[in-house]
Amino acid sequence: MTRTSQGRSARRHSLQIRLSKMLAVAVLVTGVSASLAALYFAYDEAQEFQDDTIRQVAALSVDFPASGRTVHQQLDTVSKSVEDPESLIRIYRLPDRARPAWLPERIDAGLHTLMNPAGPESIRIFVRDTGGGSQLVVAQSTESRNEIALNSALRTLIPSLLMLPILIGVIAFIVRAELKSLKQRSKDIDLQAAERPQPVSVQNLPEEVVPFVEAINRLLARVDTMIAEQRRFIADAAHELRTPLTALSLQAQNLSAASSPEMMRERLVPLKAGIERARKLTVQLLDLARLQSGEESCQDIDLVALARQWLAEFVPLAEARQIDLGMDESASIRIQSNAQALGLVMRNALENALKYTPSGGVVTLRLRAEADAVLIEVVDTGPGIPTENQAAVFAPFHRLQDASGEGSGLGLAIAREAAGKLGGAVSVSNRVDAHGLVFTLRLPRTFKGL
Amino acid sequence: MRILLVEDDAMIGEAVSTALKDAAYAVDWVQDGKTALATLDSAEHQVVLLDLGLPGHDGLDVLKRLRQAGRDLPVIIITARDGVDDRVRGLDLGADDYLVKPFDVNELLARMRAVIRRQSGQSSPILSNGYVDLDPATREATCSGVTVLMSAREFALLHSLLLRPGQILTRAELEEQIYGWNEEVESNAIDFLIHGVRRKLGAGVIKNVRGSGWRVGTAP
Repeated sequence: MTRTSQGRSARRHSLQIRLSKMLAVAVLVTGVSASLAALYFAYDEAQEFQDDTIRQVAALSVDFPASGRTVHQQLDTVSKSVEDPESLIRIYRLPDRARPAWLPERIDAGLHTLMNPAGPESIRIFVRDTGGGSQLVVAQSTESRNEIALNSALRTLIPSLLMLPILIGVIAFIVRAELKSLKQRSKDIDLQAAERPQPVSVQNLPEEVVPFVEAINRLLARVDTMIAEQRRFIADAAHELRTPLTALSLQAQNLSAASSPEMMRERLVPLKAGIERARKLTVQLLDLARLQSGEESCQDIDLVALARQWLAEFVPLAEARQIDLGMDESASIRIQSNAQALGLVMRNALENALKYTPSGGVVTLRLRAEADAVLIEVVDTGPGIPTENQAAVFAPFHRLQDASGEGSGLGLAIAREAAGKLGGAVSVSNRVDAHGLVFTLRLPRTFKGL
Repeated sequence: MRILLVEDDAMIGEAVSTALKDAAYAVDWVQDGKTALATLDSAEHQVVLLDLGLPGHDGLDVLKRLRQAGRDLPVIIITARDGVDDRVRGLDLGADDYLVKPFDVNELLARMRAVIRRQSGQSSPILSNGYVDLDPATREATCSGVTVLMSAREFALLHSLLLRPGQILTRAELEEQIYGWNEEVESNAIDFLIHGVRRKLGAGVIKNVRGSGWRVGTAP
């Protein structure tokens, strides 16, 4: 694994783990704070409840003074038998009863918390005036009060503490279950054969993921179309290779069957032509393959000078076919483009024009500059092409009905491919002023990316 | 033996024509389906070699029309289409054989001999009327125990006569069987060939029927 891909995978994250983690933390934080709040309120409530209790004890002792003593006696009796006497409630009547050290002689009516100088714990008391300067004091140790309050408060925590781990488990389960359909889809994609990718089903997928999956499906469809095109091209190319090969093998056999040196020389001529044809087809296939995979650089080009070069190449052929080949004069045009790809387009166009123009005809190269585009045209005096067939001539291996059987039908396909690489477009149309065809290459003035 | 070659590719057409002429066949070569159908109507051919990818009428179309017209002459498809579907369609439409490009000339010639043999109802590769034997594969003729190699034209002549052993063939018929369209035929060419065959195999091998033509001999 390279460094970059390591870095990339480190930055990548699992949606499942992230979701589970974040939800679990959220549940923990809210659960714990809710529990702490519950604990606080329960504790507070328990304290108040105990205050109420001592208040009620005081009321009882005042309303039933005779029995109040009894209560006290009873309580006293009980206090001897319980293990924790500190938890008990004690009743003092002031001033007629012996007063404990921590109780001041006079104290305001109401609730108080007093420090016990004899022990570490403080004492909670309720004082009530009973008339005639006498007071009733109900006392309880705060330590035992706190213990009771804490115990009851803690008990309220138990259900929520039990809930937390269960809730986290449930969250993990739900997240995993929800993401399962995604995992299944990726498995489906993994299992697909590369030759014919099938679209991924969006059934049962979460709504949020559907656009993503649909985008992938659109990409798959485009790839599929491209693969089909390539496959057809290879099949066509193989088919086209058979024709020159068949001719070559027959021509070679004819040569070997020749009975005299004269006959041999005679039969060598078609064999050489056959080899030339096979060579040309190979070059064309290579041109096309190079165009489809390669990248062209951009240069500053003097179009008029370049056009003159193309013409010079084809003058011998034109003369042999008695065709007047020339170019309309034009002011200098400079463009940003690639001379090699341009040459592929225009050489194929010129070759076609010379092939289909009858001898005595005229083939003219025309350069025209527009505001943001440059047009390069080849105008001939040939038979033209019926309008309905004009688009089809650019398909690979397409040949015209009355074509003589020479040529591979690749020339215009190469021209189209090369024009596409240059950001331009090619088209053919029949002349309006006379018989003949106009081949047009339309190029942007400047073309940056290739 | 006159062959119609239907092939749109100029180089292949030319090369096949040359090879067939070397093998003593008379060849008419056309480059599209329309002309092929017209030619088949106007002349007598023993075999059709049919390419499938033709301008105008497709090769299969030509074959269909030919069979619909009730013509049962042997048709060998020669094509670059090698799919099983194409072969099946071609054979089902009435082709007698199917040869995929690129092919060997010798294989083409052997298949042509086979379909011609089947057409004439013979199972043996050697043509015979009991007196004269002719081996189309080696171009050797045997008569009265003497085996001689025939020249291409001599073979074509003897072959034509042996295919219809009882019949009398006129000079025009023989010329049509031996020479293709664009071949110039000398007025005494047939006499010259008959003379050559008789010299090799004996005078009785070809009998002249005065005023009408020739037939193959049955006894010395």
